[in-house]
Amino acid sequence: MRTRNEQKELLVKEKAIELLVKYGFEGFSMQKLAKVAKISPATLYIYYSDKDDLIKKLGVELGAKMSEMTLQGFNGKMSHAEGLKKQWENRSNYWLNNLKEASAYEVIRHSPHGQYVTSATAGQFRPVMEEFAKNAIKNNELRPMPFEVYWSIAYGPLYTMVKFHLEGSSKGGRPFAFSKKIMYEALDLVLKALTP
Amino acid sequence: MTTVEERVLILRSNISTYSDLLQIQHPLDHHPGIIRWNIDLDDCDHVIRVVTPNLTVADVCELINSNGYQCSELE
Repeated sequence: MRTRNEQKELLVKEKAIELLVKYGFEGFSMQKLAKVAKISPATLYIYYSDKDDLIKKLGVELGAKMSEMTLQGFNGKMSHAEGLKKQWENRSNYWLNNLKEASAYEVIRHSPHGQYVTSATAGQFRPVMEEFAKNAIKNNELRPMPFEVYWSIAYGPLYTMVKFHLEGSSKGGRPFAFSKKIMYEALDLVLKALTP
Repeated sequence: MTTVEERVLILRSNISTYSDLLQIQHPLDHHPGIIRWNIDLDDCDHVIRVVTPNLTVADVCELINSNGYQCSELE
């Protein structure tokens, strides 16, 4: 009888993350994974019933880690300026220090299992963020606006700069490196735009 | 409460399409020795995964062969 082995399971996850980033969802296969993890395909099927099962489980796990890191030291009762600063710090930290995992999670989010994975993750994340926004509006720290407008202004600039950083350059190939200084400079402007 | 020890059998097969799958669905679904099963049709080995308390690879192969398909243990 085949049994589970935790070390092997961790290696399988690590290699699955690498393959997803390299080949995308369509190009990912159980055979490729077995090969790079140096295990037999049969062993892989002990852990996961098929490719879809693996991708869904991995996605839920990566989503939970992203939520946990994003919510670290944050709560819905913080002032808008203080809370958004924490969010920017956490989100940039998540991307810059977990690039492979964050990229694999993005691949899964855009796969046919994206909705399954995001709805599994939203449970822990959404209530806190909603409380944060409601409090900010109630305390007159945030002007009311559609969610999409808020999200684009509140986080769009951060993710754009993180993307520039990961690509090593911004528009027209201008060299760019993300820094705390430039992050706080942009955050200051964002807060000005969002405050009534 | 008694617990049944579950074993996982992994086999390669020539069940490659959804209509092939439908041919073996009934016998596998209704076999008393099979707790659950699935086939990865996307995989080149068309891997069948069977969770069972007491069947062997030979038992499952015999069941699949008798329904007109080939299979063998995946190493």
